[in-house]
Amino acid sequence: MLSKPEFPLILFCVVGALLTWPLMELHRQFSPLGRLGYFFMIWAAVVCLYGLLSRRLN
Amino acid sequence: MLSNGTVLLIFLGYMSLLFAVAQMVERNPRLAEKLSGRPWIYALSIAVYCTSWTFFGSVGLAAKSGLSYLPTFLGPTLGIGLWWIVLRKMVRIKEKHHVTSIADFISARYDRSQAVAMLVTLIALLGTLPYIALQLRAVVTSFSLVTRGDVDQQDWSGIGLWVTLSLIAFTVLFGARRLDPTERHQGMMAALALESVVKLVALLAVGVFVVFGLFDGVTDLFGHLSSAELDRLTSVGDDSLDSYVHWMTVMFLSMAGILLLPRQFHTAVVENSSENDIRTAMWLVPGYLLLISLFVVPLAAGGVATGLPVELADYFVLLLPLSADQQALSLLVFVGGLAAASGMIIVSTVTLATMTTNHLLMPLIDRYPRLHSAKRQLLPARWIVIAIVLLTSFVFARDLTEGRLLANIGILSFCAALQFVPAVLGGLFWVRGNRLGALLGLSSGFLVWIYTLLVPLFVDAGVLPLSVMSEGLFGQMWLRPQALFGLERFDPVTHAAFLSVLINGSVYLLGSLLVPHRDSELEMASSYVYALSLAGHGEQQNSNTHDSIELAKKVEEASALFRHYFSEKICRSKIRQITEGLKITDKSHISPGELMRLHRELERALSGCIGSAAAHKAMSRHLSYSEAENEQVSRVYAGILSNLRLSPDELLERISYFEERDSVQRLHAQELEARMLEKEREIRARKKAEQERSGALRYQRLLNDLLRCSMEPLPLKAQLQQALDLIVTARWLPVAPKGGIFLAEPGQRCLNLEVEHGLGPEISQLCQQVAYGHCLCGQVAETQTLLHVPSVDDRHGNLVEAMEAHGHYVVPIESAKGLQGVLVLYIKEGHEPREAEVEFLNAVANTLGSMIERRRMEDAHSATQTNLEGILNNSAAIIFIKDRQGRYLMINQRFMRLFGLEEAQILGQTDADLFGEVAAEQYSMNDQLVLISGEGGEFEELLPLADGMHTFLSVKFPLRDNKQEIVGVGSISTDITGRIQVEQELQLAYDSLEQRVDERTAALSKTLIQMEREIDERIVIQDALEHEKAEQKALIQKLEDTQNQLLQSEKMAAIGQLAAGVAHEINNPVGYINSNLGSLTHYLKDVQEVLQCYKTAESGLDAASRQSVQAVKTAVDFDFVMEDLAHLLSESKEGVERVRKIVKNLKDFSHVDRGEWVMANLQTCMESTLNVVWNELKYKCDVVREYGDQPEVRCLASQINQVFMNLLVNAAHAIEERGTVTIRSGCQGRWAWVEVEDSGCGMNDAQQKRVFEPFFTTKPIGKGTGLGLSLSYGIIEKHQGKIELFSTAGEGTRFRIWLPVDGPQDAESA
Repeated sequence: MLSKPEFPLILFCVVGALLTWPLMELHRQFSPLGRLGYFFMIWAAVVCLYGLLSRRLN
Repeated sequence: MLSNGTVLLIFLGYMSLLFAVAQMVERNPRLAEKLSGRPWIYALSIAVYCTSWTFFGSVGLAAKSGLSYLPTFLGPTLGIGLWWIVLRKMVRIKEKHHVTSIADFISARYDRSQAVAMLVTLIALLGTLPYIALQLRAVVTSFSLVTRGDVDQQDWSGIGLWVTLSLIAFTVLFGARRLDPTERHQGMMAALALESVVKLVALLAVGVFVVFGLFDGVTDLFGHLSSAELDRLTSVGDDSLDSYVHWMTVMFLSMAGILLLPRQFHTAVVENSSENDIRTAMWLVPGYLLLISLFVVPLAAGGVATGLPVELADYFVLLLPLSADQQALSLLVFVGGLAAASGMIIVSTVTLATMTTNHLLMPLIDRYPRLHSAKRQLLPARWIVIAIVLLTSFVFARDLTEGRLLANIGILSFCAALQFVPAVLGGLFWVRGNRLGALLGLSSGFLVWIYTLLVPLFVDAGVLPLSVMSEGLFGQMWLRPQALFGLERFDPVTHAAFLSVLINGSVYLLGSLLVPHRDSELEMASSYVYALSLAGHGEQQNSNTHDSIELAKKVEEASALFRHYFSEKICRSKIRQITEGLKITDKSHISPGELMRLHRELERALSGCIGSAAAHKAMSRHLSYSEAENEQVSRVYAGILSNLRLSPDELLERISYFEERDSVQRLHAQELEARMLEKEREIRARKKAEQERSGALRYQRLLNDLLRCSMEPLPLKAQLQQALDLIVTARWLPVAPKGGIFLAEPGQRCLNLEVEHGLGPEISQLCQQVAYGHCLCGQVAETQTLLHVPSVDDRHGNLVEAMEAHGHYVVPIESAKGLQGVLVLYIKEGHEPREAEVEFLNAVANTLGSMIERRRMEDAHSATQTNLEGILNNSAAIIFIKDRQGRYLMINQRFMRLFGLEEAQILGQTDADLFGEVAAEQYSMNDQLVLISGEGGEFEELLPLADGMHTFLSVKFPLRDNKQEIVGVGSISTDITGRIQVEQELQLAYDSLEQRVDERTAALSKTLIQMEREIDERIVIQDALEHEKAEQKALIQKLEDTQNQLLQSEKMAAIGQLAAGVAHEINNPVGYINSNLGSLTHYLKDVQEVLQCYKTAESGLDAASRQSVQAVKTAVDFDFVMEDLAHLLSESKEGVERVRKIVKNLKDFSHVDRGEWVMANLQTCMESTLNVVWNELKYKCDVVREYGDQPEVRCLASQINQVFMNLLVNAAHAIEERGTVTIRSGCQGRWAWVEVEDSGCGMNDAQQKRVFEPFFTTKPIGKGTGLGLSLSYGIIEKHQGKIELFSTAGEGTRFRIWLPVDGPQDAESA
């Protein structure tokens, strides 16, 4: 499995998923409205990233 | 509220609309084809993920646990990032193997294992039932809300059953009208896409209504909440670590659920028509999730703000428009909820029905020959399964979901889907994952799931005893369902997910590693793992084979097999499609290779109907190979292997070898690529270095030209002009042929334009002189830093009209002596500065700086020389220079004039030549002294002039060459003949003056010493006076205090004396009153005896006398008088006794008669004082006495009484209304103590510090003098005792007096 070409990408995604923890922790310093904005902003950024990614995929 | 009929009509209408859409798509091939090319249909159908859990439950969860609802959406969003690898692979595998469900997908990977398929089906079935139940409950509850406005009155037996039956019918219509699920349900997908749009629009509409209709925007909405509520809504659970752990768990569960829940697998994998659609789904699905969750928190906030009960938070979405009487919006929300629920129900049930019939029912039918006839009843069987699934869910929803959050039920299904993760991921990426591992892993994970999640549900419903939860199965604590193996750390969901996946994955790995996989597994394992790298390819034709197998026979066999599962018509149609696809329709005989392909296609078609595992089994059971065919097929395989020149085992080894080689080659390719990149980098670096060298050479040439220019014997201006021309005309520089050089004027802070090239007269005139800080050049002069200006901007101070667009390099020209000027060059507008250019221009500026500095130094040197010559020739002294041999090398005009000689006559001559041997000896000796010592000196020398000998003061100094060696002597000789004479006269006058000054100085010094002494004495006296003044001031203060205390003491003594006098005076009359009262009592007894005799004698009187006496008795009320007399006397005696007591106490208190040191009982003193001040106390407080044993104390009793009185009166004054004064006494060693405590207002710290100061009082003006406690303090001090104060503001004060039992040591003197 480790030698598969897609493994680094999977690893990257898993590590990315784990990194959501510090992103989660960061929200504590915001006001209630700021917290909402923060989460949805990150979410929207991920959607945009996927949009760009899907254009480049072939 | 709406009527049941209306809502039912809407329900049916909506479902009919969906059905119409599905029908329209399926019956119109052109439309179907058009829609299949629309990836957004595919993406929206995947949004079936958003069920009523999302629609209703998210708001409920947000209202109770804030942002805990988010991971359900964020998990899929993150998981979708892997779709291009994972989902694309799954789709490709699906296409290759005609996969129809997740059970089919997993079982096909593991050797088409029927057991694996059954297990997966069982997990999916049990895992999905609660989820479908959840949807039913949401529909029925929303029905109740819309029709009755109440969630408690759910009509399960009426509406609930009716809705369930309708859904059974629609599910059959949508997804089970035909038997080949491999063909995609385009109609159903279109309907699902429409449902996704409807639920999104409904949720957005109600969100917008709540935020902007019910409230005035988000800020206003949140403004209606308390900060605690707002904080709860925007925090993750209770913000504890457990909440975050749960958060992460749900995120991972959702990540798996978006792909592995049976319905999600169906929409994402089975219904996929093109791999490219995944690309659209990758951004559209997360975008959809983002939009649908946008208003979740505002809706929860709206429900809380409008006062809806939090217990109904799951239905805030519907309750909010209902409570606002928005019927149309309420209906839209109802339809949205219906869309969310019905979409999930239909797809899940169809998928489960397919899986159940294929993987549970078919093996059963195959196993029992009596049931074989049921094989052709698969379609009705599927309908029955649909009905059973939905009716079971109905019962589940009715009996087991009551009182639970929608979200908590949904999570059960996600946990079940999580069990597929090891088998699916292992199957996709790990060749060694085998059937046994998958079987064991799935079984163990499934059991843990049942035990940790389903068992608690049944315990809650009362189906299982409660002790299972608290004490574990069979009383084993480590078997508690929610703390399995003693794991109590996590919440139930995390606990179940963690343990089930851990055990499932571990067992899968161990099973796969420990047990070698079968050979038959290898092909499927490879086709799964290398699905993306192996492109679809046709079978290689074996040219050596010939058509020898009869086709009709094989077709008949296939028809016989197919007739078990299809009707005659469908059976014929499918076989014709296959033979046409293989292009063997017209053949009578086929080759062994074609037979293999025919069988493969037959298996694919059959697996589309009954699943790959069952199809494989059916094929191997019903299709036979004759011996010849077997031989031919074997020959084909052998031919392939012989072409490869390998045995099967060798082939496997070779595959491993090629895989290894492939990986080595990949590594090698990567290394080569890295090397190539390195080489490319090297080439780029070399090219860059080449360019840099070329540039540096050009730069150096120009610098050389500039240096050459600076060496030319030209004026500075000409040199600068030449240099500027060289710079601005260098074509390789990015400068325009325009520029100028400004020179800094030392000490003036301004620049002058020295030379210019191509500036034109207007600019030259304008920039003739530029102050520091003004315009670009001035700014550079100020900062002495190179300035790059890309275009004409505000920094340009001097601008002219119609100036063409340009930029500037402005470079400070500096040298070791500071700023010399500024070089300004014109460049193209927008030119970006480069590091090399900047370095070069700095080098040019340095060269110019050196040029200017050198030229200026040369000019200065020339001027200095001229000045020196002037000084030499006009000096009054004679100045000359001689070499070491004493030959004159240079002389001034004065020398020549003085001696009347020409320069030529003197130069080269020695002193002996000019002045003779005798005079020259003196000069030569002085010169030698200077030459030998190397230091200058002054010498008086006699020179023969025309008017006689003159005395000259010659300052002689050595002259040195560059090597600091002495090469000659210089001399400046001044004629001092006149001065010597004046000096002699002055010396005489000076001597006289000095004597006088000494005398006067001595007199002044004497006077000064005397004055200093006087000043010191005065300072000492003044200090003493100041000290005395301060002492007097303190003394006066002390005297005043003492006087005041004395006055108070005297006043008290006078009052005491007065009281004693009054007591004494009262005592006498009281004495005889008391005595008289005693006598009177005695006399009264006598009178009463006499009267008794008279009374006895009264009977002897005549009637008239007796009557007269009786009348008198009656008139004076004789009996009463006689009776009352005794009372009156008794009361009078009592009153007199009280007066005596008061008088005695007064005397005791005053102690006038004993104003000396006596042994006194402090309790007696306290009692007498209490009697005196009783009048002050009795109306304000109750007096509590707590006397202890205490000996008599040697004291001044009257003064101690005064202290007691002060304390008691103060205690009374401290009590505002009614309180308690407690008096205590006791003894400790040779110290006696008395304590007075009140329950009054108490004192603060500041008051306590000052309470013993004279005139300090906390009482109102006029009520206290402020001397009482001060006086008391003085009295206690006099007794060498001490007084302690304990007070707390608002609680009370306690004074304790300590007195030595034996009195003070010097009692008499005190």
